[in-house]
Amino acid sequence: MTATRGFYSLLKQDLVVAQRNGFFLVVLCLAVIFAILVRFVIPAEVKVTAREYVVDLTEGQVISDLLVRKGLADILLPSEEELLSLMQEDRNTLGIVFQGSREKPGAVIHYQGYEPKKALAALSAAVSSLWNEAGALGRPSFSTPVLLRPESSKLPFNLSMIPLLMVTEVVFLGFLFVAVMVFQEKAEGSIRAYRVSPRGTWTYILSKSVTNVILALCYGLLIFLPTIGPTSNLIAVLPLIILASFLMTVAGLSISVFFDSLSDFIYAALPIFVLFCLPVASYFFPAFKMPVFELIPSYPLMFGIREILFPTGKAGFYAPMLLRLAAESAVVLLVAGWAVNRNLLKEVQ
Amino acid sequence: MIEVNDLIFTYPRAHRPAVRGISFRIERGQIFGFLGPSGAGKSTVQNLMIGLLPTQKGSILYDGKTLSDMGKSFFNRVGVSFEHPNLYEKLTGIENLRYYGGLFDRPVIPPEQLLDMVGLGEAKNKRAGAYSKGMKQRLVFARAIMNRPDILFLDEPTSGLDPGTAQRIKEIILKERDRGATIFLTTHNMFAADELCDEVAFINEGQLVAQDSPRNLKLKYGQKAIKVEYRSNGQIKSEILFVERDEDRHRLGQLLDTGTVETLHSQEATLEQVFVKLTGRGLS
Amino acid sequence: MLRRIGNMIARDLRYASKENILIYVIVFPIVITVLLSLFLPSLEDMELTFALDPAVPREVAEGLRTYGRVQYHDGLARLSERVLEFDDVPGIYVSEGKYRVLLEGNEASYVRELPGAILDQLLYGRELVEVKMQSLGVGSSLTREFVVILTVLGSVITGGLVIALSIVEDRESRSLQALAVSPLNTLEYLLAKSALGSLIAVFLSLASALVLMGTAINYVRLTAATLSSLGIGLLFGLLIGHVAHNQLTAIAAIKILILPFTGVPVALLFIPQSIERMFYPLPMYWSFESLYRVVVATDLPIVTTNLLSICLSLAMISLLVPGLRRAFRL
Repeated sequence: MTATRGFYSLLKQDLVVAQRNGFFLVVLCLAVIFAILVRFVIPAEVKVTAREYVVDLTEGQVISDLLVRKGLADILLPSEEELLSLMQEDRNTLGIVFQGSREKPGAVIHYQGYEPKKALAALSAAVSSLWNEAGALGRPSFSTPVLLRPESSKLPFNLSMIPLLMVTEVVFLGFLFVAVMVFQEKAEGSIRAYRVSPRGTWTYILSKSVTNVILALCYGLLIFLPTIGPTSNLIAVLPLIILASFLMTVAGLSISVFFDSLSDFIYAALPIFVLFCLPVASYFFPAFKMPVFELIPSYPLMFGIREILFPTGKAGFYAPMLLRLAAESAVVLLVAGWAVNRNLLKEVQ
Repeated sequence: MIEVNDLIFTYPRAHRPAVRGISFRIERGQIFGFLGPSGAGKSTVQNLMIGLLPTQKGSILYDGKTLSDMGKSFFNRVGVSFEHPNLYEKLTGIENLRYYGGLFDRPVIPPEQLLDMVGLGEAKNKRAGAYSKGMKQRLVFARAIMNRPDILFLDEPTSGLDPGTAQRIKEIILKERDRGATIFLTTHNMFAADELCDEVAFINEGQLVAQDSPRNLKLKYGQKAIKVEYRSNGQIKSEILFVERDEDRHRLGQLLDTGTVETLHSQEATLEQVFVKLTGRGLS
Repeated sequence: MLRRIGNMIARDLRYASKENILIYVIVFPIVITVLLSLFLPSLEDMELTFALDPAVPREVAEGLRTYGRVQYHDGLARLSERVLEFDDVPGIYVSEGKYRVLLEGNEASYVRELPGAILDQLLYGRELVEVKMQSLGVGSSLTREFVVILTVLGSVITGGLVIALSIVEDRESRSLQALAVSPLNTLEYLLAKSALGSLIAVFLSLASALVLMGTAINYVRLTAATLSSLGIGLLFGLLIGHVAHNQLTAIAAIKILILPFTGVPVALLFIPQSIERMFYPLPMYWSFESLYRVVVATDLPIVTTNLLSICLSLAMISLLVPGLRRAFRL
């Protein structure tokens, strides 16, 4: 009971200090900037993978007809010269020139030169498939697609940025804010007063974590509400934000206590932040995943938050993700307990 | 009762120990002064006693129990006033006390009352960062006594205070003692120690060089002296003469014979003089 | 004047080396670059992954390997579990003598269409379309080159960070007050403060280009582009040094200001050329353009873009100087 009272007292103090340090203002500014970016600046349609263009030199323009039927008229170019000139200007493009007839189909794939062989082989297979669809080969289909869930509607690019902004900022702010708190207490010497109070390591860590969790929740709501509005899905996102923020706070505590000043720490924090941001590549290119991503908490988190906010019908991922975050938090919490006790709550080791 | 036995402590990467075999005993309800110059090891001993530094060799017992026996709950009974003000500068004076008070498992003195006691009642809603050095010092002192501690550690509690405020703090310290608190006072201010302490210990280069009541120390090591003011070539001059020295007695006789003596004051030995005599160096 | 500036630089250098700041500033950004260089090959060789049921014949699996990576998952349940993971991995199994491509339903369009096309190609057993391949001979992907551009701009910002934190340290420790009663003036102070940060920026820029591109870059042009971008780092550093009185406010300022400084180059990767005009008044745009010409469009000149970057950043800094004079009182 008295320990709980001690915790509340420390928490209230940390919240007031956070507010006076302008943390809530920073969170508000960031959320407003990001909300404006998502709503008004970032376009709804952005192609991040290579763009393919097609020139149809076939007899009877059979490929053009097919592409128009598929709603892909915008990838058609009138001539090979135009295709090559466009490819030279924009290195993120590929070109396919269809030629011949249904009886003698042919194609030339113009590529930049850096593309992986396997990707080009796959493109070649796609070219055959398109000719087949255009009625050229009469080749039977050897496979049938089986969908585990119905196809979902395409998520606009700007809205797809919300989970990304959520995760990267919760990671960064949790990590940074707690370090700021630690270095401020070290500089003021107020940590010495805490050292001779009856409250110990866990109360300290818990109070700092809860303060950061509250900041993260404020940030989350400030981004969500103006962009996607109040939806019931938000309730499911909140536990993920809470755990992610907690995890990053205890991680930030574990590391910051080993540094003498905030200026030193910030340089060390950057590589960690970059590491946490690497899985963003998978977010933009979903077929790409390095095995190491599985170990980085931000990887499942950004997909998880996206699935909750913009459901496609995926099931069974939520509880394991919460459990995983909880387990990771528990492990890092133990490390933080050791580090804080050793490096922060004692004058010398 | 506090017992410190054969304490030795070496800082990491230091070549020699900062504390070298210190032992002393403090009775309940006593003000124990710990005197020594800067760098003598005073703060190290205090930090060892409050567990901020780990005990390497020797023991510190509070009523027969070690710090690890008692755990964090020990700090419910302890108050510490640090030499360098350590406050949440973004919080007001009253907020600093209110939140710190919330950490204790026992009732604390209301922050308003404490602030009035140390003369900060009017500045209670001002941020600690905007306080003067003396105000910060008083706030730290107030924080140390807010849990009505059984043991009070005070590190230079009157340094940087104007005489009036210093007197106010000294009175509170004496009241704390009268309430039954045991007080460990670390200082290099011999006048404060002389005025407040029931017993003092001198520390120099990590070792205790003497321990007794201020009066006994002065009697034992001090010299009886006389301060003489006399007129010479139209100017007032003064000399301190020790009655135990032959040449000083002779000089006193000479001065009295000339008839130029204006004032004569008997001069008691100070703790500083005792310290100089014992260690060959000054306190400040 | 030069003696005073030299003295200040020597003091900053001594301080930075004593406090390990130099090590942190140099080592950690290089760690980031090495991390990126390890990561880039996988991104450049991005390939499809096929999750296969062990019942898929070995020769088909071998054939699939020419199109992507193959991994096995025993039974339909496991296969479904794999397909349902967050990345886009199609599953392939055989049921009633027919191949099935197991999909989640919301994969990227190429992941939905390619497995069927590839299986058809493989199982039909012969090439039906005569496909010729023609390369434009471009050696590296834009991904690596854009990472180089962003890393070089990041190095310039890191230099700015050093300048910012050094000024904030002077303000917090009240050293600035001591300098205010010395003959040093604001311009000398700013020049001295810029020196170390700029040196670090140039070093990091060249080092990161070396790690990521090796010798496949013209270092003379890169040095020229980096030098002309230094004004951006200086602007970043001075803005923070102006608004922040201590490390804490510096962090808040960094967090907010880093957005426009890094956001502009990132945005330039995505936005259509038609709205690039909006960014013309910003030195970041011209630095990006210079670096693009150093790394990608290597036959284009960089003199004009470099000059525009220098002029625009100096113009912005000159707007800041009166405020700095008031704040520093030198």
